[in-house]
Amino acid sequence: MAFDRSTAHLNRRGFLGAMLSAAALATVAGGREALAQSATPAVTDVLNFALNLEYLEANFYLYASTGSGLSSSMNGNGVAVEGAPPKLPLDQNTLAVCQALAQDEVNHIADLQSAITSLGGTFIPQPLINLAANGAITTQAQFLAAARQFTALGGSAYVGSAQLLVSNPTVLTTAGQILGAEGQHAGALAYLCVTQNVMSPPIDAQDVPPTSTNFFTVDPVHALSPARIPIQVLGVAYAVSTPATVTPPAGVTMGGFFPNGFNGNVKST
Amino acid sequence: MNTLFKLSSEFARDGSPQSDIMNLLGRRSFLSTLGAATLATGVTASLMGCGDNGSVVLPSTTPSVADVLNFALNLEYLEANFYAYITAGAGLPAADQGGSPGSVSGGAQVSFTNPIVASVANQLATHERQHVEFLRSTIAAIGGTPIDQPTINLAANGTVNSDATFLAAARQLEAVGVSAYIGGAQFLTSSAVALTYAAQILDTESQHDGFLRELCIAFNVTSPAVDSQDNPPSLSKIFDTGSTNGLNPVRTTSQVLQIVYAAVGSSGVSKGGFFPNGLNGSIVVS
Repeated sequence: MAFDRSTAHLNRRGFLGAMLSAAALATVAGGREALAQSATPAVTDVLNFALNLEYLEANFYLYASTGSGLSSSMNGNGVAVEGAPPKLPLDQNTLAVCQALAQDEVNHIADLQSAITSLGGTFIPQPLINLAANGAITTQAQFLAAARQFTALGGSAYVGSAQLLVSNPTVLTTAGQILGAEGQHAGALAYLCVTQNVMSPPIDAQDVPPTSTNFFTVDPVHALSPARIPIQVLGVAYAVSTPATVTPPAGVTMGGFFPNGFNGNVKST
Repeated sequence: MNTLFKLSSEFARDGSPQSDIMNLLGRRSFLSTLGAATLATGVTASLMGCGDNGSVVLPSTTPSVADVLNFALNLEYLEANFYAYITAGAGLPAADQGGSPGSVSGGAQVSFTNPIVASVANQLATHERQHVEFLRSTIAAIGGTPIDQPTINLAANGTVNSDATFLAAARQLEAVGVSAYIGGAQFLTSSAVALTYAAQILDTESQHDGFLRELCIAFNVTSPAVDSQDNPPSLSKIFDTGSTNGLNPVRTTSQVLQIVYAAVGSSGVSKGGFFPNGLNGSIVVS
């Protein structure tokens, strides 16, 4: 995964924010050739990768708004969730957003499952999820802080995976539509964090949590939102990334929110 | 052959699946692929656009990466000028406008009442100017020619002069922008770099959209639907997503042009609305 690491390194150094030059593009090209020599995941692998994250998000919003998680018919007869919050004492606006988030994420699960099936693949069942990996969530402020992090991670995973879906324009378009929804979610949660003075800590070095003067999760030079490649997503999901992490340690296969790791073929940092 | 396409071709010779899918698949087989996928049945029709009689309307040719980025650049010029005038009473720096820019009319500074609305307007002014600059440099870097700023009428849908009229209009512009980037993604598959940049901008625009929707709801502002796909914000419709699929709308270039030309429902239109002389570039007819 030399491409992944070199890109992350360049990104940290502000490459994506720098004026593009032929030399810089050549550097990217060298890395991309390296990627071509390693295994590129199949479209169904990429969709199953995303499905792990959707199971995480959907359960979180469902538990927070109703006290119950995904039905077994929706989660592929998967494993029960650990560390789930009770139905939380959310104010009217926050509850309305939480319910809308839950509805969208449940729909995204159905979208991904049907897409995988229609492509001849097998969608993964829900893996073991620990929603208390960063501590038990019992308050509205804790809910907003965590929801902002989950949504930022999910959105950036779709951004970073777009390049892996170019062989199927239909799937690419659907993934773009899910990304548009995730970005809206991030914007709404940023609004709630900002207006309620909730600080949602950064999940890694790319993250830009909302503040009272900077509402959006974008880089300061070109207003681009983060793109996380799968190992960067897994580093956060497995809780091995810190606010200083650009590239997580290699070879991690489980931990954090996924005590037994992701299901599917893309599961190792 | 420009730099990025050259690199992309070399990349394809390595046997990577990340090759130019639109060249490998002819239009016919591309359509077969679409038809074979049962995923998102409604998407296929909206992706390609529908005529008044429901027939599928195909783009006559597949646009290049630079064409698609220039199409997006027109929309970024609209947004950037919208926020620039509202926050500062003036347009973009001359260096961002290109060599022979069109004029911008109908814009004026707004005295905001709410500090969060004022702050979001300022942040969006910065972001959209940055997107203009980033697209211009990216188009140049891949060997294309960035378009000049087109002629823009910011008052095409009425004057923006208050928190409420700002929120209503900004929400519409962001929603159109998001859906345009989604619709354009399928034409960027030959360039992983350009596709990723577009996805990063898409995510930024949708964050704007989500934040503005919350503000519209909080201040009880009605932001009318831009077309039949649009879901204006309300407490019962917090997000612009399908209630049964959770998907953001996707718009074809024709559908985007119909909105910005103030000609929803009409194909074959080449100017009007926000763009009195039409867009610049090669994708200009709805």
